[in-house]
Amino acid sequence: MSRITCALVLCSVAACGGEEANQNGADAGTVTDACSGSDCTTPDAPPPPPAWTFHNVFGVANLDDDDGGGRDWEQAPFATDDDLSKLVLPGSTLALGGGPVQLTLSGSLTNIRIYRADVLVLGDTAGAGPLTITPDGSDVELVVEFGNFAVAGELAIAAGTNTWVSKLQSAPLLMNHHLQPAEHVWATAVNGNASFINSYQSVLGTKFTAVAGSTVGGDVWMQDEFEFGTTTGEGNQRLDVVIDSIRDRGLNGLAQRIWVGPDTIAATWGNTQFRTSYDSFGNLEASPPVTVNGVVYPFGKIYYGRVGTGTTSGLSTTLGTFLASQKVQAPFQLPTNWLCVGHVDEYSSFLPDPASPKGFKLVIADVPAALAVLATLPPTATLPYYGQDHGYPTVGSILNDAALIALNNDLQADYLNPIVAKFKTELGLTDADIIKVPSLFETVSNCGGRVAALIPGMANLIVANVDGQTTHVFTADPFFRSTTNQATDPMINAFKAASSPTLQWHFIDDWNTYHLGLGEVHCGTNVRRTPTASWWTTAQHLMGSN
Amino acid sequence: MTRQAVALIIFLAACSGPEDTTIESSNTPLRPAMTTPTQQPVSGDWRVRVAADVAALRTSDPALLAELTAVMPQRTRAGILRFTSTPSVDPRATSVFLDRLARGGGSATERAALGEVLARTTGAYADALVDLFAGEREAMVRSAFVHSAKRATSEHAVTVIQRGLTDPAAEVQAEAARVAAGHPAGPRLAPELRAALASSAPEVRAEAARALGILGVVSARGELVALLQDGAADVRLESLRALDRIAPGSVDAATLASLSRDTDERISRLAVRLADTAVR
Repeated sequence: MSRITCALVLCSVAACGGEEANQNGADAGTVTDACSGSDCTTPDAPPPPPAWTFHNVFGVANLDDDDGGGRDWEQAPFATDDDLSKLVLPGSTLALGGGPVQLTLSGSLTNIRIYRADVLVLGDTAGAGPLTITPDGSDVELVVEFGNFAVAGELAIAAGTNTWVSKLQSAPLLMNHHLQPAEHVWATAVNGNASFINSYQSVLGTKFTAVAGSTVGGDVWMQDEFEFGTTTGEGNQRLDVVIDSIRDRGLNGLAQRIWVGPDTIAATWGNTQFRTSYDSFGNLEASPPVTVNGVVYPFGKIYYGRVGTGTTSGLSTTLGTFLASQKVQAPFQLPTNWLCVGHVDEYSSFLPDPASPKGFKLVIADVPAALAVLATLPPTATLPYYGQDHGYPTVGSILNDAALIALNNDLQADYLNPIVAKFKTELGLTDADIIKVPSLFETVSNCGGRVAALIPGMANLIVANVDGQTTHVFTADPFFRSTTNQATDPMINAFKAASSPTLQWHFIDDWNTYHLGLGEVHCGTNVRRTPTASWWTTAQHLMGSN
Repeated sequence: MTRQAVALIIFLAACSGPEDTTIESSNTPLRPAMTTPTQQPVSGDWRVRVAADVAALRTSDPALLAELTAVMPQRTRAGILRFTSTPSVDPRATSVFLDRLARGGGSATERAALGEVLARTTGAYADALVDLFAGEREAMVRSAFVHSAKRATSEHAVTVIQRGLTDPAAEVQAEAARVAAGHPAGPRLAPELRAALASSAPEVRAEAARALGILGVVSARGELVALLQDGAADVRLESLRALDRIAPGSVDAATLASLSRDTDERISRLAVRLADTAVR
C-alpha cells in the first residue's frame, strides 16, 4: 500500500466550520462532508459551510530518506514515501463551479510542491499557477509535498464566483516536554558508571539502550549532543528530528549511526566556529503545556540559557532564531552565565503532578531549601562523600564555611530568584506550581568563579513513562548521609515530600562519572518521546503569519 | 583488574543495592572515613617524601602505582579536564600525583587537573605546591594549585595563596582572592587583598572586594566605597555587597538611590533591598 498519507479526514477543521474565514463568496449549499462524533455535534456549532469547500493540508516536511536513495525532497515522489499529503478535490464539488477550475498557489512557493498524477503542477519550479482543471465528474487527486518545517501556503480554488482557499501547512519542529510518554532512553556506558547504567536497565528494560563508550570517545554527556524533536501531520504522519548540536564532542555522529533513517533526520543549526558550552542541549529545554495570560501553549514553551546577544553569550543565535521561527513554543531565555557548565538543566526541570491544576510542577534549585534542611541536622553529622571530594566532612563544616554560605545566598539573590520570577512570568506559574529542590553550589577550579553543584543536582532529572502507567523519575543520589540507606537522606526526603506521590523515584549513583564531571543524571541521558497533540488543531492561534 | 577497580566495584555494590528498588534501605556505612589531608605531618623536603612513597608503592602495591601513574582526567561537561573517579584513600596516591607534576610533561590542562585533584587525595601536598607554583609557567595550572590550597591549612598553603594574589595572571589572582575568602588564614591576607582592589583586571577587583567583605576587613571600607563607582558591574556589585557585610547600613542613602538605578539588575535589586532595610 502506498504510504502516501491522505489529508482527507472527516471532521477536519474546515469541514467542521473552523475555517469560515477562508470562505469567500461561496454559494450556499449542501454539506458534502458529513461530520460525525462529538466535535461536530455541539449545540453551538456554526452553521454548515456552503458546498464549495475543500480540505486543508497539514503535513510534515519531506526531509527524511524513506527509500535509501537520498533525501526525499530531492527526489520525485515515490510509492514508499510516507511524508507526502494527499488533497482530494471531489468531482462532485468541482462540478458545482459550472466550468473550469483554477488553482493558484501562494505563500512559500519554494518549499511547497503540488503534484497531479506524479507531475509537478504548482509550486517550486512550476510556480504559482494558475493551473486550470476542467471537471469531468471524477475526483482530482493532488499530492502536496513540503520542503521545510513550518512552511505555509494557500491554494486558491476558484470557479466562476466560487472561491475557496485551502491552507497548506507543514509541521513546526516541536521540542518534547516531560508530560509526553517516553519511547526510549539512552546513556553512555563507560568504566565506572555501571551502577548508573544498571539502574536504567533494570527499570526500563528494553526501553533503554546503553551506548558503548568506546564508540563515542567516552563521551557520557548524552543530553548535550542531541535534542529530540518531532513533527507530525494529519493521518499519523511523523517525522522525528534529532537536533544535533554544534558541540561536536565524542557523541557527534551517533545520530547518523543509530537514529537517522526513514522517518528520522538529524539537523544542525549554528556555526561550530563559535560554539561554547551554552550550545549543549542541557541548555535547551521545553516546559509542559501552559496557559499564559489567556494564551494557550499546547506544546509548552522552549527555554534556554543566554544573556545578551553576543556570539558566545548563550545558545547559538542561529538555533535560537530558528526555534523562534517555529512560533508554537515561543522560546524565552534565562541566565546561565553564572554556572561553570552554563546549562538551564543545572537548576530547573519539570515533574508531572496529576493532582496539580496544571498537571506539573516546576522544579527549581533553591539554596534556602538546602539551608533549611541543614539547620535540622546535627553539625556533627558526617558526610563521607562530601569529605573527600568537596572538603566538607560534616554538616557543620558546610555551615561554618562563611564564604560558601555567602556565595550561595548571593547566587539565590542574583540569579535563582530572578529566574523563578522569569519562569512565573513566562509560564504563568504561581508559588504553588513550584518545587524548591535543596541545592548548594560551589566554585570550580579554572572556571572563572562560576559554580557547579555541590550537592548533586537533583533538579537535573529524567522523567520516563515508558509503559503508559508508571512515571519513573531518575535523579542523582545526593549521598547526604553517612549510610547507604536512602530513606535516611534528608535531601531525598525533602525533595520527595514536595513532589507528587504518584512518582516512582530512582535516586541513582552518578557521583564519580557525572557529578565530579560537573553534570548529573539528566546530563548523561537522552529520551525520545511520543508526540501527544495535533498542532493543526491546537496551535493555529500561535502560528500567526505562517 | 586493578585493586582500585575492585574496590570501586565493592563500593558500588554496597552503595547501590538492588537496581530495581527505589530506595536503598541498608544501613551500611558509606565510604570509609578519610584522613584529613592537612593533618598529615609534613617534614623535610617534599621530594624526599614523594620519592619514598612512590618507592614504597612500587614494592607493596605495583598495580595501584601503575594505575595512579596512568589514570587520566576526563573531559567534564564544561569541557575542562578533571579526575572523575575518587582517588585512592591511600595517602601515597597524593605522592604519585605530585611525582607526575614534578616530572612535568602533559598538557597544561592535564597538569591543571592534577593540581586540582590533589585536594581530593588524603596525603600531604601543600608544601609541594609552593615549589610547583613557583616553577609553573601556565596560569591555569597555577590557578589549580591555588584552588587546592583552599583545603590545606598549613603555612605552605597560605604562601601559595599569598603568591597567587600577586601573580602576574589575573585569573590566578582572582582565584587566590576566592580562596582567601574561605580560608582560615584569610584575614592575614587582607593587605594583599586590599592591594588587589587596585588591579587593572575587573575580575580581580571584584573577587578581592568580595573576599574583603566576607572576611569583614573594616579597614578596606574606604576603598570599597570608591569602587561603587567602578566601571565594571561585577566590581560595583561586590563592593556594595562587601560594604553591607562589613558594616550593615553604612552605605549612604544617596549612593543607594543612585545604585538602585544601576543598569545591572543585580546591583539595582541589592541597592533597593539595602535602602529598604535602612528605612526600617
